[in-house]
Amino acid sequence: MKLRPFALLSTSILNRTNRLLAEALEEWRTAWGLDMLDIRVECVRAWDAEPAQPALPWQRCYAQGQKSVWIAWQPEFFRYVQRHLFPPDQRHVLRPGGEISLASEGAEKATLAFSERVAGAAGLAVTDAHGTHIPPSAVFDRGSGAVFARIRVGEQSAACVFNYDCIRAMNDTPASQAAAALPVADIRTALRNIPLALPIEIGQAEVEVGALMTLAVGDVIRLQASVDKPLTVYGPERNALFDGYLGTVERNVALEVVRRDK
Amino acid sequence: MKETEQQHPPQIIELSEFQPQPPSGPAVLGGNMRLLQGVKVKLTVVVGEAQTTLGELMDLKEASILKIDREVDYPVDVLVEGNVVARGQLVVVDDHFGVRVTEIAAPAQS
Repeated sequence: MKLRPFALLSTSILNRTNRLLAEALEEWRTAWGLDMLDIRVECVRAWDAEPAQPALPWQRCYAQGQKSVWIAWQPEFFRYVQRHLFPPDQRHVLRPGGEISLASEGAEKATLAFSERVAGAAGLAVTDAHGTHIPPSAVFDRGSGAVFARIRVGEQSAACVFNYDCIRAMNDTPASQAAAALPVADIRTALRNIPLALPIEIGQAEVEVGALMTLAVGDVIRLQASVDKPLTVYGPERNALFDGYLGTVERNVALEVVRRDK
Repeated sequence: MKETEQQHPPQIIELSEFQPQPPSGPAVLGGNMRLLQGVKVKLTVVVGEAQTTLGELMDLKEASILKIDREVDYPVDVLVEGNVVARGQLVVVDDHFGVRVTEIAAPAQS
């Protein structure tokens, strides 16, 4: 049976992921001279993420080994970046069917750089040529370990999902290792130090309530146990363990053990 | 017998359902324990406890000594249902162990 790990993501892991992503996007903003844009990042456990309204289209996927990150942004993101990269100037507006302008080419590169920075936060640089841009539903399953990040770039929304392998790498959490070979151990040895208090009974007597109610100092109660026979020591389940004779050791009462007659 | 049956034919007894009410008034037995004097009670006499471990128990051999947490002059306990009701000295009575009572537990304040 294949067991799927249930990853518990602590707040500190979310905060660290948040910080790494925010730093990566800060570098992108500085590199592209987009200081006028306010960038906000909010990381949540993927299974706690509310679906974005309206839904953001997934645009790119980066993958390397077991690590994957999926990135989504609004269709207007590209034009929005272009508007801020290049001041409003009709000469640079992308016209349908027109030639690709320098501005649109720059905005395209900036958008690509944006997704590369997001992936770079998880140490990924290679786009997934074979996979789909849409994250599998499993990353949104409870305990998947994936992190969903809501990103605001000025007035534009973007989002990304880091799978659990990314999160482990970003937070220096080693992948679970195969358990080392079990050292030789004896359960009996492990149990040796379990403490046990054994009550040592001399014997029992059956008396009537009337006699007990009138019991007085000086009265003698005769027990059923014979002085010629060893006492029986009982275990916690009232099972006879062994016998013994009463004696003393260093002014303490003690019992000399004898094997029980079968 | 047969004539009696004919005169008073047997009738089946039907038990009526109780309507439970909170019990009230003084105790029916009036706290009179003497009515229960004949009830048998089992007393257990314990000399103390041996504080040991599973390991020590597993290693026990014939003639091993198991120390008990009581000094020699400490009285033994007389227990009823796990409660110490009296203490006393260990004595021999007709080749049987016995306890000579030296102390009786004070009755609990009701």
